Amino acid sequence: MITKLKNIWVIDDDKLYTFLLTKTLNKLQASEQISVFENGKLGIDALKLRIEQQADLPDLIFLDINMSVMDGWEFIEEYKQLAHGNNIASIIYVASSSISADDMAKAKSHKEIYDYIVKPISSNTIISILEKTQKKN
Amino acid sequence: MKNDSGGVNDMIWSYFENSPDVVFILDKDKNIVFFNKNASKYILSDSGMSVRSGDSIYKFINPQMVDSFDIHFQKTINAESIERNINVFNPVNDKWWSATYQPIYTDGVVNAVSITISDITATKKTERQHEEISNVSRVGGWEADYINNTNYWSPVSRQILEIPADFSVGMHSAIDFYKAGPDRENIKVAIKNAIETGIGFDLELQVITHSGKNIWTRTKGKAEFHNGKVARLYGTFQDTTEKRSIYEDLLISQQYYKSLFEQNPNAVFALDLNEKFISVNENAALLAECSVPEMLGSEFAPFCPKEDVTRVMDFFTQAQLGRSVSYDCGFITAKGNRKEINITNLPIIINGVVVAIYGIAKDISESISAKNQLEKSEANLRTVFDNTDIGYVLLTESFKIVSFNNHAQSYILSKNQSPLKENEYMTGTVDDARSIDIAEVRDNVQKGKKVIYERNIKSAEYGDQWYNITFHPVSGIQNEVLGIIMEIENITARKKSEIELNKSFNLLNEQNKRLLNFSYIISHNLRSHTSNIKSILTFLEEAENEEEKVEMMEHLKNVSNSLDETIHNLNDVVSINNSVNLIYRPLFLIEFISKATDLLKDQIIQKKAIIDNKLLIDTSVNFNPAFLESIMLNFLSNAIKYSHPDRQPIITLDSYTDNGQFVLIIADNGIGIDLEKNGDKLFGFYKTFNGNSDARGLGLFICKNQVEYMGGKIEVESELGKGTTFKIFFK
Repeated sequence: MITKLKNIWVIDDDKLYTFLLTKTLNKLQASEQISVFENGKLGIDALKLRIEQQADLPDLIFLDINMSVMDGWEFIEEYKQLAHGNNIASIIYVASSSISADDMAKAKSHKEIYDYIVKPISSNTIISILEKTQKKN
Repeated sequence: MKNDSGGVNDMIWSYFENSPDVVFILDKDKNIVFFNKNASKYILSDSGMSVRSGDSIYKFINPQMVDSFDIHFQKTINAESIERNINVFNPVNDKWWSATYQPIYTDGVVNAVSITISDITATKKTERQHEEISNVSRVGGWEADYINNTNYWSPVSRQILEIPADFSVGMHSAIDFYKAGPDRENIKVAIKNAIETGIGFDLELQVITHSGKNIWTRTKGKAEFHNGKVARLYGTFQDTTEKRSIYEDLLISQQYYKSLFEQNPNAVFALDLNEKFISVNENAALLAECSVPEMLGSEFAPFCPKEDVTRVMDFFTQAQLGRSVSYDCGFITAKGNRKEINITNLPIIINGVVVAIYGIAKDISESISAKNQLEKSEANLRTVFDNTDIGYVLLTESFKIVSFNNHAQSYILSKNQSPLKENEYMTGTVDDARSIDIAEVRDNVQKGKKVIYERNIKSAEYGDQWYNITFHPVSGIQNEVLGIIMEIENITARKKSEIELNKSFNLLNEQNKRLLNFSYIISHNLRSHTSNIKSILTFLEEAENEEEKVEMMEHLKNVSNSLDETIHNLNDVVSINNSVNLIYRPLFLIEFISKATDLLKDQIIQKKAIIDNKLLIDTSVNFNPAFLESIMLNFLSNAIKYSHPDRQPIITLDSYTDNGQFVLIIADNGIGIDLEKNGDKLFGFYKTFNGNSDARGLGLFICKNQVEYMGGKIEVESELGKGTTFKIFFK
């Protein structure tokens, strides 16, 4: 029913959350590979490296907002610069525990962000995200 | 001079002595042997000399009159006549006098002459009037001869009757000229009477002339008898129509003046020289609230308020001296009511002499009270102007001071400027450090715009005072600028509350920020734990084996611990913001540094960190002990935590004084912070900058709040890879 994605990235510093999300994604056989980055900086560095090596780029990114070193918003700014001139077609979902309307509105203002999901992410939500991502690809 | 010869003589003496006439008795030699009281007065007023018995009469006779006197005296002494009237006009007292000479017989022989001089001014005037009238009238004569039975009418009489030259007038036909009715009957009776009794007549009757004109005539007649029988009737015939009309005119004009007097809307009165009313009109009586007869003969003074008497009497005197005067004074009516009147006094001059004065009085009580009211309301306005809380200076367009009130003056004086003076120019006085540009004010005001300046004055007495200085244009009907109003409003209270408002606005803003931060903590930190709990519970429910369940329970335990820690931190934040009454006391910094290093002993040992304390042992700050403990612990633990992996951490503690403010320096040689990127987030919640996974982040936020709460501030200098220096400014 669901075709497996090649690469799903989770950029988040909450270890428990990433552990639980990875567990769910694996259960759902969502992706061939799942990569976790502890902050935005590590995510961007990985992206740059993949572009350089012309390796596969992530099909789907779950991005946290509140992270150390480089938070979600800073990641988006860097991502924009990278996407400019490079063909990156990753679908980015912001996944945050924040229920602040400000954060939701800010997410909407970036066209690179596909949607905003409030943690925790249920299996059903993940399934629907996967379906949408497949259609897009 | 008194002749003492008994009762009758005494009476005569008294009569002569007190006679209103002037009486002299001269002896044959024309020496004065007797004179009465009035005689000496007359002589005095006529010649300025006093008369004595024995004086020659010539001493007192006007040289021009001597001849006339001699003739009359001689005729009298010769007993030729007993009565001669000599009319003399005396220009000194503007009077006519008549002198009567009378012989005085002693034993049948005239040996003295009495001269009586009477004032005939009044008679003379009437006489002169008659003369005037006679001059304009035509007098003719007539005669009826009863012996020869002829009838004669003089040419003037015929002219009066308009009888043609050839027309002969018979005895009876003459009577027929008199108007039928009472006129004709009267002349018939008069003629009959004259013929029978010899009594003459003098009648004023209407006559119809030959041509049919109705005229007034005066017919005088006298009878002449011969042997007891009437011989003739003769007399004069006069056309008095004109005289009659003059008389009528006189009557009319008298009535006219009388009505002018009586009907005058003003109170009109005449006062004699003793200030007694000699005539008053109805309105005068109305003004005085009594009747005309009551007023006549009474004095003016009682009608005059005491305070005005001298002044009014002075005006009367001026009028008596021939001047006309007009003035306002009070008036007390017969009923005791007070009125305000305006009086005009004119002299009444008869033959060049002031005999009385006229007064024309207007009741101005109402206009006086209206005037008083106006003055009062003007005074009220002035009071309002002077006592308003706003200072006003009225200026002409060229900044000349027209008027100002007390507030304006005290404003100017509070600026140590020269006091405002009317009719002086404002230029100098508006000037201050931030001078009000007069040209700017004028430009705007001429365009009809007002100009507002705000001024702050430091007053030693009242502290800071704020003023709004407004220049308003004063426009006329055609919008032309007539002047400028400078309005000085003390806005200190408003300004102070504005400052207070700003303070509370800032406070509110700060609290709002804290609230926002708080909501951030809730949404990002508390919720991250709850969302994890939710996830774990889902896994627990769906757990496929016991092993997974145990794993999830372990995770749940960790989350619960984290949640507890977060809630504790939150409590710290909230308690700072709620610490209303904190204890301040001098604290030795060294004590708190040792306490912190004690707590951080393990980390210091692990990282081999050096704490380089350059603070003096007795360095103290006035602070809250709990806050200082937290601050020391946080900064020192951060410095150790973010140490550079390639070198031994050195943490330097130092201090200096900036503008009297104690500043604590905590410097490290750690990894540093990219302030350009992270400066704004440095003191935010749960921010960690260094990728150090155990960073709590909340520490700096709490420190910042504690320092600011105590009235201080924190500054930070840092260079990536080299180290960070925090400066804590204590209040």
